[in-house]
Amino acid sequence: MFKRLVLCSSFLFLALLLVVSATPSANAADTIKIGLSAPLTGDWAEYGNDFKRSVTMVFDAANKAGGIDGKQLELVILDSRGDPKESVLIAEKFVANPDIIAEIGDFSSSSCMAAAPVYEKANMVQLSPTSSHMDFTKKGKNMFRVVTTQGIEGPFNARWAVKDLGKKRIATVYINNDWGVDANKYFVEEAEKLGAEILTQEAFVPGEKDFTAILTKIKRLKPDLVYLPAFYADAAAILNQAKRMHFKTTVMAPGSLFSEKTIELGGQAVEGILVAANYFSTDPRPAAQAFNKAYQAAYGKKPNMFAALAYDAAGLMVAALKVPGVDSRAKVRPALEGLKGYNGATGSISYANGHDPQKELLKITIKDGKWVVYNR
Amino acid sequence: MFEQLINGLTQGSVYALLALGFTLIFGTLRMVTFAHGEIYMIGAYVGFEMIRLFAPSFVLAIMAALVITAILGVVVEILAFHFLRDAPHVTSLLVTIGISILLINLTQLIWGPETKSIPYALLDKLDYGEFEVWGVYITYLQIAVLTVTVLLMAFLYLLINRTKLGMVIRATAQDYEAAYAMGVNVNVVFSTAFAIGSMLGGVAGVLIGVYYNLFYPTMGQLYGLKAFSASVVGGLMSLPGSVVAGLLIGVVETFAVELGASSMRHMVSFLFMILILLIRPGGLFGGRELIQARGD
Repeated sequence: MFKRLVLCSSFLFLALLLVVSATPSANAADTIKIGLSAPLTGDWAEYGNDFKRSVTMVFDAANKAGGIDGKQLELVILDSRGDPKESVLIAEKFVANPDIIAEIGDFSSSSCMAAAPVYEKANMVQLSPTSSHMDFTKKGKNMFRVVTTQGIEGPFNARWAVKDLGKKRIATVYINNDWGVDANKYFVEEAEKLGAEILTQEAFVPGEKDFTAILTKIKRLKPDLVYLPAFYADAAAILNQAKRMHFKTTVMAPGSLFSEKTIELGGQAVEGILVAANYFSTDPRPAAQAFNKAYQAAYGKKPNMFAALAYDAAGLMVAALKVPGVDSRAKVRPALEGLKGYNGATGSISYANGHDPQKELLKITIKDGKWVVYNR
Repeated sequence: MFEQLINGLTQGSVYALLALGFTLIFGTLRMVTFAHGEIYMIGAYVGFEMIRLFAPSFVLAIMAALVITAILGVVVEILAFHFLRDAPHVTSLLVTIGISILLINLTQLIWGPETKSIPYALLDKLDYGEFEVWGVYITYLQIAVLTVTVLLMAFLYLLINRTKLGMVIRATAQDYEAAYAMGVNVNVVFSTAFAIGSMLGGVAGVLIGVYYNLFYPTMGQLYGLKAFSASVVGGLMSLPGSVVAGLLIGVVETFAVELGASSMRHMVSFLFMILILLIRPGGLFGGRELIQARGD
C-alpha cells in the first residue's frame, strides 16, 4: 500500500516537474506572443500551411523592422488537424498561457465556432482568415474574420449586376445547402431592392447532374442574367448543358467558382462568367502586388487566396499591436476595431461597423480559358 | 413542353439502361445486387481512361468497359452469391453493399475524390453533332443513348426467350437445383447472367459519363437507386417493364421541375413510384414476367 503511494506520488511529482519545465523560461517582457491554430496535417493541411507561411512571413518582417515598441513578436503554432475538438483544446492551451495575447485561426468555420466560446470567456481576440459562416462573428465580441461572407458578397454581386450592368431580369440556380441558401438569399434581397425582377429561384440538391429541366424552364423566361451560387462541378455541368441547348445569357457567380477546376471542367461553356473574388494573383492593386512579390521571394511559389487572407490577418494583428498602449488581451479588440481602411492584399478592411469586413471585391472573368481581371 | 419531354426521355433512358441490368440479374438469380451502380461507375471510369489515354472513340471505350465490367460482374457473383448460395438472401445483399462501398473507396484511391472530366480537345472529337426540331436542339448522343437502350432490351428479350442459352437461364431461374440435376452447370449460368447484366451497366457508364462529361466516385449511387426502383416499378422481372418505368420516371422528374419543385424532383419521383406500387403491387408489367417465378 505504502509502496504504491510512493510510486503514485513520485509519478505525480515527475509530471509536475515536466509541466514546470515546459512553461517558457524566456523573459516575457521582451516578446509578444500570438497563437496560430491551423490544420497543419490532415485533409486541409495545404491551407493550414498556407496560413503558417504567410503569418510567419509577416511576423519576421515586423521583427526585422524593429518589432513592436522594441519587443519581438513570437508565433506559437499548434496543429488543429481540421478537427473542431482539437481546436477547442488548442484554444484552452492558448488561453492558459498568460503570455499569449491574441489568436489567429482557425481555417474551417466549424473549428473556429467550436473554439470561439473559449476565447470569448478569456476575452482574447480570435481572428480567423477564412471562416465564412454567418454565425461565426455572432459567437462573441472577440471574433473577427478577414474573408467576406455571403452577406457582403451577395449584395456586392447584386449591385454589380443591376446597377453597373443594368440587368433587370434575373434568374438564380443555387445549391440547396446552408451556404447556397444564404448566397442566394442575400443576392436576391439586394437585387430586388435595386429594382430587378427575379424571374425564378431554382434550387438543386448537392450531387445533381441533370439540369436540363431547370434550364429549359429558365430559358423560356428569357432572363438577361443568371446568378449561380454553386461549386465548380455543378457550374460546369449547368453551363455545358445550357450550351448544348443553345441557351446564352450573362452568368454571374460568387467566389466559390474562382478555381482552375472551373475552367478544366467547364471548357468553352464557362467563358465570360462574372465572379467576385477576395484575392487574385494579377490583381493590380499595390497591396496585392506587394504581397505577391514578398511571398514569391520568401517561398518561391505563387500564393493563393488562403495565403492572402492569412497574410492580411497577420498584418491586421501587427497593425493593432502597434497601436500605443496595447499590451494585454482586452486591449487588442478595441485596437482592431479602431483600424480604419487597413490596406490589405485582399482589399481595404475596417471593423468599425461590425466584425465582418466590408471589402471592395475584385471583379474577374474567364477569357480564352484563363481567369483575368474584368474590364468593362 | 416538347423540350421537357425530350429532357425527360434522355434522363429516363439512363435509368432504363441501368434498370435492364438489375432486371436481368434479378430475373435469373432472384437476388438483388446493390453493387450495380458502382459497376456503372467503373464502366464510366474505364471509358474515361480509354478516351483520355488512347483515342477519342466510343467503340474502343465501350469495348474496354464491356470487358472490365464483365470480369467485375463475375467477381461480384463469386464473392457475394457463389459462396453464399445456401445462405439467407440478406447475407448476399449485405455483401453487395460492402462491395459497392469498397469500389467507391478504391476509385477514390486511384482517381481521387474530385470530379474529373475528359479534356475538351478530345471531347470535341466525340461530338457527333445535333439537329433541331421545333426549336429544340437534340444531339445525336441523346439519340444514341435511347437507341442503345431499346436495342439492348430487344436483344436481351430475344436472348432469353429464343436461344438455348436463354432456355438454360430460364430453367436455372425457375429452379436451380432441378436445372443442376438435369445437367446444367448452374454456376456458369449465374456467372453469365451477372456478366451480361454488368456489361449493360458498363455501356451505360460510358454513354452517360461522356454525355455529362463528369466522372466522380459516387456517380453510381443515386442512379443505382433510381434504376433499381425503376426495375421494381417495371415489375422486377420484365425487360420492357423496366425500360418503360425508367423512361416514365425520367419524364415525371422533369415535369416535377417544370411545375416548380426543382429541389424536390427526387421526392416527387419516389412518391410517383410508391403510388404505382400501391395501385399495382406487382409493378407495371408484373403480370407478364420475363421468367415465371418459382412456385415456393
